[in-house]
Amino acid sequence: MNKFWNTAILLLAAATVTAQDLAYKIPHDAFAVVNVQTDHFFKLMSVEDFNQSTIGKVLLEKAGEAGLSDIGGIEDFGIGLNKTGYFYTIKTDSVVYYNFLLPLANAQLFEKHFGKDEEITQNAGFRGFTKDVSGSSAMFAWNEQMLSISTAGLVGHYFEQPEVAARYGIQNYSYSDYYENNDTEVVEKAEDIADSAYSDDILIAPPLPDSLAIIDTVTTDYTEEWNWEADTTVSDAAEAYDYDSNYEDDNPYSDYYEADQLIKKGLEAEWAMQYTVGLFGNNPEKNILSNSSYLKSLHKDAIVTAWLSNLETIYSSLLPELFGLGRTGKIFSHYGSINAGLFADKEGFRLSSSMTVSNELAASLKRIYKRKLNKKFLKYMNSDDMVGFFAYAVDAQSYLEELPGLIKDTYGGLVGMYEPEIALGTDIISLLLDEKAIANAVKGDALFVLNGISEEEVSYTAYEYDEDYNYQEVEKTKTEAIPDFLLMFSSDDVSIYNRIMSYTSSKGLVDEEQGVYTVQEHDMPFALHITRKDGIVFIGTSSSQLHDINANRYRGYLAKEHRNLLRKNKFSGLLSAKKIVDDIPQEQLQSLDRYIGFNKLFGSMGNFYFQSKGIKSNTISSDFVAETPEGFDNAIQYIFALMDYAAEQ
Amino acid sequence: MMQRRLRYLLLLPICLMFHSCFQIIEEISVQPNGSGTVVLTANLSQSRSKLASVMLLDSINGHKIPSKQDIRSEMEEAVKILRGMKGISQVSHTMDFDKYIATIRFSFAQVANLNDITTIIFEKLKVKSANNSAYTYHTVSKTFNRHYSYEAKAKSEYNKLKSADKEIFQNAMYTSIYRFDDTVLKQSNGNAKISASKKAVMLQCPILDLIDGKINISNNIQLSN
Repeated sequence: MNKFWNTAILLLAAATVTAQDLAYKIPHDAFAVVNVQTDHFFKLMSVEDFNQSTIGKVLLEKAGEAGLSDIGGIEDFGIGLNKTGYFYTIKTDSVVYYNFLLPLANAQLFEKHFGKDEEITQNAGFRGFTKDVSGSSAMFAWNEQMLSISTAGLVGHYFEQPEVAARYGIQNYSYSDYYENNDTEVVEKAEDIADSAYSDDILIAPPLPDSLAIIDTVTTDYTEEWNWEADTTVSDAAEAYDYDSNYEDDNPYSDYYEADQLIKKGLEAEWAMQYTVGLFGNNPEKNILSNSSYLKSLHKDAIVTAWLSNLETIYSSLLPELFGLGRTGKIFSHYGSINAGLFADKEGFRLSSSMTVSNELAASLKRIYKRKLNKKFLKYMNSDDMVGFFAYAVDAQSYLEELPGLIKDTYGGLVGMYEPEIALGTDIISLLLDEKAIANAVKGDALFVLNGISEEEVSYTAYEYDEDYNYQEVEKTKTEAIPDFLLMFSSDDVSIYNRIMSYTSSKGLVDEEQGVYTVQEHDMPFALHITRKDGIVFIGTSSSQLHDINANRYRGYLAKEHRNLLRKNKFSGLLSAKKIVDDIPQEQLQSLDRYIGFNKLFGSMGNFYFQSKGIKSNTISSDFVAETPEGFDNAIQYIFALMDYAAEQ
Repeated sequence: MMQRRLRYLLLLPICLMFHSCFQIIEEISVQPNGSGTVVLTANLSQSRSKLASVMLLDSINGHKIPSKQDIRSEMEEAVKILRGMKGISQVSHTMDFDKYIATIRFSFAQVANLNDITTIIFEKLKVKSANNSAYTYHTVSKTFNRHYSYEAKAKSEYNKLKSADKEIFQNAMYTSIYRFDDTVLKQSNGNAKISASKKAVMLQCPILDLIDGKINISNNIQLSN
């Protein structure tokens, strides 16, 4: 039955990718894919409205400045606005390809605007040019349907291997080599190498992922078709790396470095080109639409979705040195794919993300997240008054029991030489801690409620001058805004609470009045009161609220949506921007401009909230939502209205 | 760790909302022979709730927050340097962490000794300055002169600050009081006032006006013979 449902879900997800979609060009083993669903964006906001917005106007203005003529709107760039655009990366042991794949509505328009100052070449199946973008050579290529922008980035540590370096003529000369060898001839050799750094002879096909292997068949003759100016690239690179080599000690490091960079930049440009030829010439044997993990990340209502195949791949490319050591423990292997989607609808903006974890980690996390938030907390909230809250529920005993194992497992292998010490240390901590007793004192769930911002009169020292300018210290008062909050956490251990309170009382750190303790700490910017009731410890700023709670007089009220948010999640939080505006004393918004601006910006904002249900199956997920306030059809229209307002200021 | 995080959470709204405010008072009393005393006061009392909150943190707006001990040590160091300077004596200081007021008092043998202090401060701050603040006193002509030239770098440095840091200067005030045994016949600064007894001159201005170069605190004070 499960299989049936899985297949059904995948089919539904795949159905959101239309037949004309460019996803079929992305290989199934891409390690990250971002979908930008411009079609959905422009359903929420018309192209005309976008062109009239501040961002739209800036875009058109910049286009005018860049010398693009006949641009009346975003639709005139030639990009297909009714289809999905992609950014994806493919990783091999030696190169990472970064690729944008955008649908074209009118290739001639695109070429007219973006290719006007470029040397465009006609190739088999596409037209294109290379352009230096942020120091990397990017290959722009297009046909009637799509535009591809590809860059290749070499994997540094791969080219540090002696046999690989030798194959490509890379020297990897280190600054200290000169002092170790102290060879005078080496300088001349370095200069020779720098002169002949990149030659057309170095044409070695790049390693490609399995799914792209088919491209190998077209790599042999592309150089004839493609009038690729290797010399230009070399000279550009030489300029970019025009390091001052006049070191006093004649260390030839910079010559070698320059020569290596020329070779590497040459390879990057060449491999980006080869990738592009393959992209337009062939389709991958297996495309990303056969990748079930990717398909699960898709959602037709999202504006943007991002999918990362697995965390380990990212770390191995970002921190190759770590992997070079061959010891990473299980720090990364516990984590699988990561998805994120940005949605904008009537409710608001929603950023949903999820990550899959290994069975082992999932089992630990399920134990940790088994606790539910103490429902008695909810009695002490008042939805009408509060500005926001933050709640979490973990099981302290399970957490303390699982933690040593997780530390041992994750970090033990990472710092290999200390593995026995880490194992021993975590075991000793386990032995010393009485997890059950600790969990009895602090059960692991807590709720922080920001009840508002109250005004308090505080004194300060100023000076009064007499007619001879002798001055005296005088005490003045002013009003300050103080946060009014209540923190609650579950605790069954009444004896430890009583012992702590009687000890702090005896030391004069707290004062007790009818079961409510007040902290005697003058450095605190606000008063703090503590009490305990119904297995809950309360810490708050309002003395009357804590006395009411202690005497069973407090009457709260909780709105249904707040109750659901708190009860159905392991982590949740909410902030009402509108209530903050109402609560902030006007003195804090002294100038009229500031008052109006603050009210306009935040006064009409909806609530912000986040929620995480913890772990379900093997997936941890969370949502962050910024609600659309009344008066706007959807979140996109609202955010653009806010930006228009900000631009007017 | 959890406790510290909680502190951040609790203190965040305060740090965001409170405007800071501080006062710097420079009081120089000059005897007819050119010797005298200085009292420098930094009064941050109006921001003490914020400072008390800030002192509980490790850093704010990306700046490390020094501990009370760090601040005391810095003050001790400044006092030690002053004590070692030529012509400076009777150095004392106070540091009140309840009111957040700090003072340094000392005596000088010659008004010119004050210029050495300025030089040393600039050296300590590693600022190359064309000595934009200098004091002179002529015992014969009975003139006291405070020369101040605006340092454009102050504004460029200020502009580099994050807006949250700029707020600190919003309501900050600078006061200078010069006292003499002799009567003040005239003074040249339009923003300064002569006291009723005509033996003191006071100038008060927002520190932001000094940073912006909107005000010049130079003054030429002619005393009676």
